[in-house]
Amino acid sequence: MIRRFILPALLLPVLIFFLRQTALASEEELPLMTKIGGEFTLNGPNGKKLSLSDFKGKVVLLTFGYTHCPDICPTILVSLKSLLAELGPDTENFRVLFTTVDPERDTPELLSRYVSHFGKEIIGLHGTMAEIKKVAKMYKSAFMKRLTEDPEVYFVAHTDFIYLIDDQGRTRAVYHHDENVNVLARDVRQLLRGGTKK
Amino acid sequence: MNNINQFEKSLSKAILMIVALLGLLLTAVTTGNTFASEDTHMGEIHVMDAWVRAVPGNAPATAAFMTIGNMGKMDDALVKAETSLGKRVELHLSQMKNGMMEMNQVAEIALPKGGHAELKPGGYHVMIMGLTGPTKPGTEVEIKLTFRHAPPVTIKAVIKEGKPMEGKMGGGMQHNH
Repeated sequence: MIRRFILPALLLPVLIFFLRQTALASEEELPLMTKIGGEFTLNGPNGKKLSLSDFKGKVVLLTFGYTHCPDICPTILVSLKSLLAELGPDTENFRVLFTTVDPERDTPELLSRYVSHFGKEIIGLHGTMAEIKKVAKMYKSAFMKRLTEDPEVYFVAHTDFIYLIDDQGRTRAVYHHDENVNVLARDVRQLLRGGTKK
Repeated sequence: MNNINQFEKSLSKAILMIVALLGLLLTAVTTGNTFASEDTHMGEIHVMDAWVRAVPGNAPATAAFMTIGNMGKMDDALVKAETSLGKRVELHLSQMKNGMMEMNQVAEIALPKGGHAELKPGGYHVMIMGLTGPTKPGTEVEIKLTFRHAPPVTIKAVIKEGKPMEGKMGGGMQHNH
């Protein structure tokens, strides 16, 4: 009687393994999100103009945040640091663009030192309020200054989206700030492997 | 094919759950003692796993997180936090409002009797502004907590970078193609 169950019990892990492999192999191709994103130009470190098209041939993650943000932005950056470690040598063709939503307080120097702490592949982007708002709008991100009772203290409410952009500047996926790093790594790898829609 | 994928998805979910549960159990068993020594147990208020996020040297702000249990017979609330790490320390809540992550100061964090409050990334936290020194991982910082009823408690919070997120919020923006 017991023997009847032993074989299936032994086979189950094997079956699961093969099913997993099948699922990984048939991983869905990331769609083109044509209504979100597009080409933009902002200031990179040292005030140098940087356009999304400068990263042609590289896979890019784009996100918005600010250095006075003590909760969500470091959470995103810690995840991105872990993603960079997970990608290992694949980071050669991968960059993260962290665009400030607080250009008033985030000087290019402050921003650059802050983000590069989490990885040399993370680039801080800066610009005028109008320039940044324009980019945010293209990507359907939004932010809003929130004043407090103290005139010296304000925060910036912002959407927590992270955009995955392929080697031709096209948006392929959008995540929330707390997306699982393994999911990010899987999708970045798909694009690095050339999961590019022609 | 879809059926197999569906089956495979739910199967791997179930397996992940079991593995996660086993992992939690193991962690609880093996680190039980460490937790106990890190706990601050002052009368009816219990503070567990207090930590402060390590941030880059030039960062203007950081946050402290912890779990506060109220073993007392009366509802209580955390009304104030103080630490020499920052010039300005406030109780804050991060929350999603109209699709935006917003952070606002709160007057207090409720501690229902027999219950607990979880201060964690993306939720309630002690906001520390105007950092007075570096946040070096592995070092500790003292935080004084004041409650509405219970006597104040000074806890030690360890500074660490924090863990990457695991995707609790679910899917991203709707695909529109």
